[in-house]
Amino acid sequence: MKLIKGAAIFFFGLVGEWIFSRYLSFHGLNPQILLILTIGVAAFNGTPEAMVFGFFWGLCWDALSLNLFGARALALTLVAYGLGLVRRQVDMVTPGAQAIVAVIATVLYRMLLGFIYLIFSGQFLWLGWTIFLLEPVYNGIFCFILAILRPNSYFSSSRRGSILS
Amino acid sequence: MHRELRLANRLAIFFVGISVLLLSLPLSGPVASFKFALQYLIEPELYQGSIGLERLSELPSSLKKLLQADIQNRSLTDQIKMEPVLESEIESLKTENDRLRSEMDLGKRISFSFAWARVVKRSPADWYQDFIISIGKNKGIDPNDPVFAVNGRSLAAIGRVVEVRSNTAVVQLLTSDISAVDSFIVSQSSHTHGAFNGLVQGLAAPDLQISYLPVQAPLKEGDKVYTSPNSASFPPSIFIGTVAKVYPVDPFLIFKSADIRPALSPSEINEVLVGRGIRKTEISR
Repeated sequence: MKLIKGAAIFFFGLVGEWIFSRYLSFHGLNPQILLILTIGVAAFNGTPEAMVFGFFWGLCWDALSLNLFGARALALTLVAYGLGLVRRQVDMVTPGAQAIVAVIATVLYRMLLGFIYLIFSGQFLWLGWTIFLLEPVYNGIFCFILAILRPNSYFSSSRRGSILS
Repeated sequence: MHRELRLANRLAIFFVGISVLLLSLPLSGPVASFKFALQYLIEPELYQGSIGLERLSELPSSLKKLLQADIQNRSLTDQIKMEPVLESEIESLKTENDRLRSEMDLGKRISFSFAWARVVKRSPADWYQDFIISIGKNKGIDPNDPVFAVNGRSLAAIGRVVEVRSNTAVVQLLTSDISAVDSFIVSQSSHTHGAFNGLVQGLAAPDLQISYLPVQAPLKEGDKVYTSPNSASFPPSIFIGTVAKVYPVDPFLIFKSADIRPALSPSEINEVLVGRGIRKTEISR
């Protein structure tokens, strides 16, 4: 059952990212659904699960877009790993904490992506100051709203145990 | 907690290794094709530009043809969507034109319909003289009807009907040495912009010749030649060709002449459009 829920979350994460990036983009600004969901999985289900989700979400998104193949997979995996380290120090379950984590994680994620592009394609991925400054705030707000709206969702119901356990 | 940390460390090493491997290795042909096909399904717009077309070149030919057909289909659909706008614009221009003509007492606008035809026979001996097309009396073709060919996205005058049979017709080309059409040339000289009337004649050769141009006409290579409103057979402003060579003014002649490269050479013409009804309208006028 948990596997089915996990697969559903995985699928809807990709669909959500696609819908937001394609139809709800505002001046190139759209919430990084996959990153926000990775934060959610890390907060409620643990680091290993967040890393698995992050890696495969990133890989799928790389395959579906013109990104450097493997760049998002690596960036989301590293962000999930970093969240695991933070999770031991900070209680990430409250919406406020998750929003702050989302702001910091977005900045780190963008920097990571930029450096991955710099190393593997010779050019730092820079989308401009507007996106660099506003995207973390946008993600933070979006993460906060999502955290408030999901009390009975997959995340909270699976706090008792991880898919991987 | 330690167990989770150990698992996270192992997963980190594993996933980072795979990601770096994927980032480092070039994608093989089938994997790249699969990725491009997926991308096309999700974001077909990415393949509309030149970069997209470059990416298509890496695909297997069958998939490439399929995607190119879809791209063409999208482009043509967009063009079809513009048709009503263009039609209404044409209608409004026609109405305005009719109103102005009536105010200036110029008579009714000449209008005619087109019929498509295929070139069915041509003789090597008369390559620049004439050819036979696949329609005749059966499609209402009359002698002296103008014949056009599509040159890119516009029409070009190529000849006129000289003989009509039941199912075929003979088209005399503008390159024929007994062909002449009233025309005007648009000078693109940097000093003067203007149009000069002349007579385009065939030479039974690839090029045409325009004569009776004023001596002062500042012609240069590349200037465009169109059918004149005075032409007996052709509607006005139909493209004929471009100036290929300007002859120096002969002191014994009172006009200038130039060679014209036709918009389409006879070798390039496979289908033609025959303008029907123009003679009838003119006679009634």
